[in-house]
Amino acid sequence: MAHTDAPLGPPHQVRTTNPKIGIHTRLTDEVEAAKIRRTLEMVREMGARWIVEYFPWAYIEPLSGLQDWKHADLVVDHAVHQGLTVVARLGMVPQWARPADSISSFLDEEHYPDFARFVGDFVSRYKGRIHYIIVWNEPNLSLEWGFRPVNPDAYTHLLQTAYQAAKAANPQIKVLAGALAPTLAPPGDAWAMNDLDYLRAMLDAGAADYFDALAVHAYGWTYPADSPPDPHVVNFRRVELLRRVLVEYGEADKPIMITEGGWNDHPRWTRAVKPAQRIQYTLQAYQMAARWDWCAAVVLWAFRYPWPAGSYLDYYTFVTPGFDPKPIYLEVQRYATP
Amino acid sequence: MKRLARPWMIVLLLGTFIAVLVLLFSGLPYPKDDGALERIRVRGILRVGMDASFPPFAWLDTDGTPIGYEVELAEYIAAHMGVRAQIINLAFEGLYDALDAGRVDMIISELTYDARRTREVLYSQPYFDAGQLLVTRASTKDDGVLETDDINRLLDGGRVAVEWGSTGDMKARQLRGNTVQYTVLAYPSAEEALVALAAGEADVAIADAVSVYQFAKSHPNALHIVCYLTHEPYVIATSARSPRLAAAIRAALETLAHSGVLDRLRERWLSAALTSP
Repeated sequence: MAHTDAPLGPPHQVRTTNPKIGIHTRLTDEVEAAKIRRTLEMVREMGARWIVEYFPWAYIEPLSGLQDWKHADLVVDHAVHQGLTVVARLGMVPQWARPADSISSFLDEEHYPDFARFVGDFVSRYKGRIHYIIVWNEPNLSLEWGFRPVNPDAYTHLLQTAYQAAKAANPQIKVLAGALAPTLAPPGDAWAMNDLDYLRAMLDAGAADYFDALAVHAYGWTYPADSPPDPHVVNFRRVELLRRVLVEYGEADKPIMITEGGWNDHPRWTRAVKPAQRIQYTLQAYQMAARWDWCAAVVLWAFRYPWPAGSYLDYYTFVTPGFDPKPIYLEVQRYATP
Repeated sequence: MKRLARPWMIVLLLGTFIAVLVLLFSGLPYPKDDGALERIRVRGILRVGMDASFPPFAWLDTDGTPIGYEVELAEYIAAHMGVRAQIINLAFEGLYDALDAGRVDMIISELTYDARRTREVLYSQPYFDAGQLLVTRASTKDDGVLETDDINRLLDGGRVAVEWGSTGDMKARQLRGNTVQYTVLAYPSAEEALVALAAGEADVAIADAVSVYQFAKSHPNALHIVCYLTHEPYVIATSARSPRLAAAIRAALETLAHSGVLDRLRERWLSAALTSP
């Protein structure tokens, strides 16, 4: 693909003191090629090797059988050229594959093969350039399961269908499952299922045969990075509890990848910390994970939004929409770049 | 025939013109209104969506009851409309969906104007600006700061206190350039930066308006607001299908501003013990 608006330039490699550092980019709605390139340059310059990026099925295949890969190609070309390892999150159901009054996280079993075909097409197209895909996002939340009651059995079936299509397209592809939302939802809650319970239910349903690594969302809320894991607390080390579940089920060989997480430094949100604490906890998290042999990457939320969210969500980012690096960016860069 | 038709044509045109005027001024300015305002009046309840996890604007007390500036403001708006407010506490991410789905009548939750949403929602005028403030000690008032040059003059060669890693810290780094040089003193919290200013360790400070107002509550008459360096105006959103409700909320805010209620809310939940130009 020609990149006349934003030439690729010479290929790069990421220089970092910690090869597990990653950051979730938000390029889905970024239109301008130059901004996509600048985002990915800045990620590399921060010393992050990994990115997670969302590739919505609904954007790529807005009509059944009619696929438009231009934007996805642009992102992948620039990311790979910057030397970044891309973890592709796949989801978002197009209108044609769901009922008219449903939201874009609604997918019924009748349309699992359609999603699997898209997964296969994606994996095939980016063979040799994208080595990791995440199937769905936070299926333990009703909001991410079409506003229906969450269903680990049904998700496992979806995972199986997608896994088989992905492996058929490229046996080397690594399929990540879960990306479970950390939640303390009580049993029977209408909106969510506790992530530890959900993982157990997935494994009981036979999910272990259909993923190569577990994607985990590790938010710290108000706790320091080294705050001890506790089933009744959402903190960064909750990831260790999910690891224990894998071990408990004889799946210790399956690595974990943190594909979202981190801290928020909004001045007033009750789940936020001070900016200085956010910097301290973030560096601590990257350093701790460097010692976890079962954790392959720590990809925190989020590098930059295309426009201001106008809310506390802006206080998760490392760089402003105008590409001004926040102090957290500069501190991570100071830590990570040799 | 043409001669005879002309007076009738004039009558017809005049009639049409009058009919248009009648439609325009007959109390039907919102032909596409969904009747939300009337339903609220019949129900006697204004359903207010908010995420009560942002003190001092909205949070839950020990009994789980929502309290704060925005809770009280919603109650004032409801009272102005002759109804009572019902606070519906939702996760922030679900607020606009709840409004779209008709689960709430308005949302108020530190929202800022979002041009991308203006096909679906109508925004009120701002009721509070939470942007970054440039402040000095009250004893070093400088009421003449209006332009960039004035800000540069105030900053140049001085010591600027900020909270490390905050938006104020970033703003301080951005303003420092070839034409203006100063020392940035970074503190672990906005409060400590403001304490340093009050104690004379720094010449100016940059902090968000809420932190400045809250500091002033415990340190009355210590600070002077020079100017806003950035703006973060908070607004109320209603569905674009309900323009009459939006107009009623705007009118209520206007009245509350003129009658001093907004100032009193700020004094109650933040502080007014500050001098400003």
